[in-house]
Amino acid sequence: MTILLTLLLLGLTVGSMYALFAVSFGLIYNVTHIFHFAHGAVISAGGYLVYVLVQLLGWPVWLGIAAAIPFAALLGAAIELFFYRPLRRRNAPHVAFFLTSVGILTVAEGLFGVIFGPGVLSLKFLPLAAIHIGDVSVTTANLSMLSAWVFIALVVVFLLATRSGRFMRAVADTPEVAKSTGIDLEGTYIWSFLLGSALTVPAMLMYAWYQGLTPAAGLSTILISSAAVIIGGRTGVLAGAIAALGLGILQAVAIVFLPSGWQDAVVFSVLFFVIALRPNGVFGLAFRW
Amino acid sequence: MRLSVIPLIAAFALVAGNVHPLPLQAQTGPKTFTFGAMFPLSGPAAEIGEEFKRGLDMAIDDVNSKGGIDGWQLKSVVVDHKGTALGGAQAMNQLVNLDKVPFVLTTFTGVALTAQPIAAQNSVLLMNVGGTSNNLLGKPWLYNDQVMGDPLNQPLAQYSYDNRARTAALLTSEDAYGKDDGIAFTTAFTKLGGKIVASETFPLTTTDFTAQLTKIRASNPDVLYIVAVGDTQGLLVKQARALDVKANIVGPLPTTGLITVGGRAAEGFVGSGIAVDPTTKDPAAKAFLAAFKAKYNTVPEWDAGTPYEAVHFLASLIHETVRSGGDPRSGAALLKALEAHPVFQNYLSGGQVHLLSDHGSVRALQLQQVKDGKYVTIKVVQPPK
Repeated sequence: MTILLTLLLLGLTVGSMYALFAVSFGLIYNVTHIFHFAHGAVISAGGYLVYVLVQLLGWPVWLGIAAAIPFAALLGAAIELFFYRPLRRRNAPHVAFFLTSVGILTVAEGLFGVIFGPGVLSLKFLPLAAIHIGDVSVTTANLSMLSAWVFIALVVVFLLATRSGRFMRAVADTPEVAKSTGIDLEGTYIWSFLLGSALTVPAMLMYAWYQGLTPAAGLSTILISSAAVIIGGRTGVLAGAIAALGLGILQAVAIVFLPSGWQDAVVFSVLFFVIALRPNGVFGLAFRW
Repeated sequence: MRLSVIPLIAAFALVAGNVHPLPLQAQTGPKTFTFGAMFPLSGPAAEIGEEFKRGLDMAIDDVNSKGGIDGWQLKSVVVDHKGTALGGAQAMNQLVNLDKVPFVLTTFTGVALTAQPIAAQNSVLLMNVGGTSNNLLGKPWLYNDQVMGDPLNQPLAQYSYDNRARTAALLTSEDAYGKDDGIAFTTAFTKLGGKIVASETFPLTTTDFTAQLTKIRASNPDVLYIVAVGDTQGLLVKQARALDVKANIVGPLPTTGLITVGGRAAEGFVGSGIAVDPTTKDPAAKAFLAAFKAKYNTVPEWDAGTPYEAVHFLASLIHETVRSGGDPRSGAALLKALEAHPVFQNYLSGGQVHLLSDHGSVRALQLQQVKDGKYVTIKVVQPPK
């Protein structure tokens, strides 16, 4: 019983982190309809920048994070401006966007490997320790993951209460109608890249706190967050977040019933069944932003 | 006119190919002996790949700076196998079919097992300097400069049992290395009277061991036996301690990544591997250890030492082949030389390493413990006479 409780709690925390990754990916995917695999490159870049500023250069942690957030946001926006926008203006097919995105991620992974080495970098300024809640043990990193919901709540407020947020929702729903009402589509795309990319920094720190930084970290996080967005459905960021939370719990608890090596397979089995049975996502229209 | 040149060139190439079947490198400039090396240069085991490469490069520099071996300058083609069996098959096929090398250094159990049939089919001599599985023994064209599964894991089981461990949990990588070494430890530990209370595995690329460690913690073992490579060792011990796994942690072939990534969590870890003796009086071993320390400011571990030894062994095989009038670019000729002289210098602790009839090797191994962020040798196990 203690094992199950521990795994549930761990799944809840890891699922919360996945939820933040899913929201950051979903903000861009839902609005622009680009399967933005290069988001993985932005995720890693933000993490490595914090590592350089805080661990190597000795900046205070808060300052390192404060610098990395606008950096990640601008990097995401730069990808839209210099890669996707030219493709859109030439009416390139979806596959061209996808291949460009994969290409950016691949080049970035190689660059990170050359600059920082292919191994694992530990974030020593984030101490990893056990925290006991009765018989259940979790880590400091796990507890930090619960803060993901604060960021997600802020995103929801932004989407509901600000002009740019309302534009993003409108473009995500029906871009043609949004355009006909005078909404600047390309400006809205930039907003979605800025916001989605900025969110990667806190999410990546939660990830690297526990698992360290590696050049491939961006890919592994983008796989799970994109799967969550598809499973949840493209109707809103909350659908992806709830799906990601479910995947985190399922992945953790699955080890009780399945061999350890099946953890990743569980996520993609769920994805397969959802695509086959509910191609518009498990939540349908239940979570419209 | 332009079109008619093409068949002419093709015909010339064909004739040239028939007249000179040897690689182009043999006909122009100084003689270069090209051989292959398959190391993990990306992925979670990349840190250990860098160590392999240090040993390889130092040995090549040694040989070439002394004028080469019988007029041959050594050159390596290093291919990344990413730590996976599939990567090993791709790397071996490249080395055999594109680079056409007669000799290949291999690392990692799964990689060596995948590469061996390709080596045998193409008469390429394969020297394993990393993989430890018992299943690597007795394979044609594959020889091992490494302590294998049984002798590597028995001292770990004995050490654990002597330190009052009666129950053990296993956490091993999902590859041939993890599986076979796990079996070797289990056999040795249960033979002593110990009991395995949990056995979990993880995919090679994973960096999150939470679920496995949670199950292991619940089984409350006296000792946790892990099989992982490179930085993964460090991540594993770090997460184990953070999840309050209190058992002593042991495992084969500890590397630098255990300490650099694991930090304080690595304290107390006990690992087994090839013995390194910084106080050796053997002149050749002393010279290597001193040169390595001068270059990298650290004593080499086994992962830099075995490629170094293997390249020097290759140089001696080239010498023997040339001396007997053979062509060293033939894998069969190198194999013949190896069978005639299956002995090479032990550069890590002095003396010689003898290759056995099962293609394994006999050499001393050591148990090391992490103390204050450094490896400290706690026991040296000499091979049976």
